[in-house]
Amino acid sequence: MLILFFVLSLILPQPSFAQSQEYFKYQENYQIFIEKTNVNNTYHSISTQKELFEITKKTLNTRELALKSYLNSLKTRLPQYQSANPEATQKLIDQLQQLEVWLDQKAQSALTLNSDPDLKNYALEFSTKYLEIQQAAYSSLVQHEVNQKTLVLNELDTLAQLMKTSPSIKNQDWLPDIEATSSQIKAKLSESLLETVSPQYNHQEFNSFYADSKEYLNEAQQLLTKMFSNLTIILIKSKS
Amino acid sequence: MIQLSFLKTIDKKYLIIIGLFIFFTLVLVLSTSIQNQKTQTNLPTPTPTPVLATQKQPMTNDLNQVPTEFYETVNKINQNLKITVQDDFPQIDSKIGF
Repeated sequence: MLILFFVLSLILPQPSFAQSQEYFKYQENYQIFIEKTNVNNTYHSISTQKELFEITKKTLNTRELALKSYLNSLKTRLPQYQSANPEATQKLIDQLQQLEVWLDQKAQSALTLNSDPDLKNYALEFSTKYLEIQQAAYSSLVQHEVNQKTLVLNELDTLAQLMKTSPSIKNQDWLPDIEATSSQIKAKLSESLLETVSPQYNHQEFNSFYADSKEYLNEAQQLLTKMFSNLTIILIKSKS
Repeated sequence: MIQLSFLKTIDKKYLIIIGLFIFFTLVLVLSTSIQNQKTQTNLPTPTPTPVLATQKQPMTNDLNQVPTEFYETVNKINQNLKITVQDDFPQIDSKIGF
């Protein structure tokens, strides 16, 4: 029974963050927060205001904890392919760690808010930091994918070198084309990372670079598949 | 020999109902299967889609044709190529409190 459970846990896809306990708690509180906001907008009594203030505190607390948990899961994922770009990846891990500490403190202080001006200050402080949180999270996602693809490219380059020196592959006409594709992939991955250092803040609104980075990453993936496909075809032909 | 003596104990009325139910079920099953056969024979023959040489992706079977000395490396790369990185940044309301 235990073995079956272990095997199933390996086969079944891992739950995404959207299904995590912390995010679920935030969504639950947020739903109540919306309802209480509507009630308060209708009646605007002292009791509805008080109820809204209490649920706002809870929602802020669970929001910060959900974000902290997400950054933590991201931080845990990054070392998986860190060897491709150790320094840049470590820098992001450290940044995520600092943000986690900040979010934890913020989550605790949310519960101690006791006036509207306090809440206003809290919201202002959070919105400024949230720009940094988004920048760090999306940069980490891009770096993680770049690292993964770089390692695949390294494997393909190694395979091409092995084929180059193999006595069973006499014709070496394919080599310039493979090397050109390899350079193209490197360029796409660099461009994807460059997007993450472009200016992200514009009038306190986050200017998301993720879609542009992702476009380069998708192009890199297509080129990786093409390079793999071509190398495989050359290997198969060499056998016949 | 199948013992059918127990049927004598059942009311004729019920026997007729059961018989009719079995009969109509058989008719339904047979007609569905005939209909399916007809539909399949009427289907147009699919025209083969032309595949460009440059678009060809290595099939799992193709990998088996790779020389033995390279098979392990190629297979490993093939697995690593399939890895997709999760991008699940949570949707939150950052304007609460304003």
